[in-house]
Amino acid sequence: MSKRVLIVDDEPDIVTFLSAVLEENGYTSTSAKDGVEGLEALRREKPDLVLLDLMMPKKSGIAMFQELRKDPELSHIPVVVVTGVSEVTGVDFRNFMYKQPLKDEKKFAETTGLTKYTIPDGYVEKPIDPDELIKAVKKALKE
Amino acid sequence: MAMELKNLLVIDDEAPILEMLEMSLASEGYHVLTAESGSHGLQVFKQHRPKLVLTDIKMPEMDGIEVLKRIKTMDRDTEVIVITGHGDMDSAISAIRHGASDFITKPIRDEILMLALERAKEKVRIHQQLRDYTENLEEKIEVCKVELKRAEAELIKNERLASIGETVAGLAHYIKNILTGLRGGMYMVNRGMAGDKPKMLQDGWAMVQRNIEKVSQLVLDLLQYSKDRVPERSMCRPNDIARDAMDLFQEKAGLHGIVLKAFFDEGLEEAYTDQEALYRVLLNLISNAIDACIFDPDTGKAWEVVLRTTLEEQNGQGRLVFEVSDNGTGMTDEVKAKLFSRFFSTKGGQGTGLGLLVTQKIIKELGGEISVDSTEGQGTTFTVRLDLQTPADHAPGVDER
Ligand SMILES: Nc1ncnc2c1ncn2[C@@H]1O[C@H](COP(=O)(O)OP(=O)(O)O)[C@@H](O)[C@H]1O
Ligand SMILES: [Mg+2]
Repeated sequence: MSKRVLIVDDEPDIVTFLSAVLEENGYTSTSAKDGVEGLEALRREKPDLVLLDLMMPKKSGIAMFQELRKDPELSHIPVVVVTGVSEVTGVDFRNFMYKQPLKDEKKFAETTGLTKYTIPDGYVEKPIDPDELIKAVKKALKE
Repeated sequence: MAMELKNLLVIDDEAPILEMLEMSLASEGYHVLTAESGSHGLQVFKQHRPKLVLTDIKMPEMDGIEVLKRIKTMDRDTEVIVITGHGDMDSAISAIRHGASDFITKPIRDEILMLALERAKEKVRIHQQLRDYTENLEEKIEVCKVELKRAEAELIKNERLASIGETVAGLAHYIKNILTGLRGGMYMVNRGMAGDKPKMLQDGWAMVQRNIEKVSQLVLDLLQYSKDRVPERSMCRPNDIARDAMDLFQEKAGLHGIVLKAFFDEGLEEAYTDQEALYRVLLNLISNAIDACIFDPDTGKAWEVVLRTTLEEQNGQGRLVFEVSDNGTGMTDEVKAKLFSRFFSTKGGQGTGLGLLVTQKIIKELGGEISVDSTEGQGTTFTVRLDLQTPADHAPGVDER
């Protein structure tokens, strides 16, 4: 069965484009238009991979990513960040990257009550290049 | 292994451990630098700038946390792995807080150490990629800016357009989004044709059209803003204009769970005004109202956008009132203050900050006024007032206000 990808992006054109590229390469996809919907869809559909925009209304991609990594039911799902440019994104992105991963996340969280986010499994910049995107997807899926 | 990722600095005050680490790491192909104290370690670091550092926490004089802090201030992309005593969770937490990439506990097991190093190297690589990526993007934006500057140089015919330069970056982002849409649409058209997939072809074509429409709107807005226009008046029906404008947003509103409501004053029949221009004004106000709902984080609300028309009488002069209200984000005082300034937008690459500017200009040209009432977190109402007027008001010899 083909792998299922959840696309989370507020721009309908990007969603249409991404899902076309995925379809061309043998994946199936569903979509959500903000972080809130994205988390709902994640819990409902348990996709094999998430393509995540960072700047979205309601709940940003960063907030959604952090929640995903904190949730033991979802934390294993690989995430590829698909991001455009803006200063705001740039800054968030960097902060976000500097959060350092731990060795035994679960144990660490349990013993300390602190939570920890690992870095995403891939990045693709907008404007999106189909080949680059598929490369990142394959890598994140370990294909 | 990339050249610079072969260099590894190991700091430990116990000579036997240092030796043992050096041996096992060298056998894994690392070029190992050693130091038997924190301060010596920093010296070696300054000299060789390794991207990977392994340091003991408990050392006399300068401890591992201090070494970590200093290395991170010199080069925050360096990955530092700390070695802690068995069960010393406090030091481990403190090290992680100060940016250590990992910790391993004594007694050191080779496979755990190698695993930690692999992960640290992966992170160094990602940091490098991220840096390349950021530089790359900056280059691309520069190109875009240069392009826009060139276009702008051709366009600058008056003061107003000169101001485009101020926020060329915001516009560049907006245009980049359009380009993404165009490219995506073309990809889909091509693939759709090659693979005989009519649905993909159709969607792709719609996407190309939509984005061409966006470019035309942007150009229209720019022209609208740059030129002094004399309104093209005719007898028209304000309620019809309002309904047309509203209909355009039904689909988008539905998609985001926003209810559009119309209250049209039936007493309002005709006005002598610029139909096209008024339509533009309403499109701008309604699209902003819808955006305010879309961007509203308060998902408990039942969002609605209300368009109201009213016929007002004042001193025997009939006045046409359009009101566009939403219960979306509302505005902070800061936003309110900048609302009508050039290219001000809070929507990142989704906005041009031209909408209200154009709106205000049109209304001024029509001799009307626009006002706004907004509460942060509650919503916003824009009100437009225009004299009804008749052709007689514009007979030769009567000045346009
Ligand atoms: N109804 C509204 N509710 C909240 N904010 C608004 C509303 N209308 C306009 N704004 C604010 O004013 C800014 C400028 O609006 P506009 O000139 O239409 O540009 P744009 O829509 O491209 O951002 C918007 O980015 C937004 O911050
Ligand atoms: Mg607008």
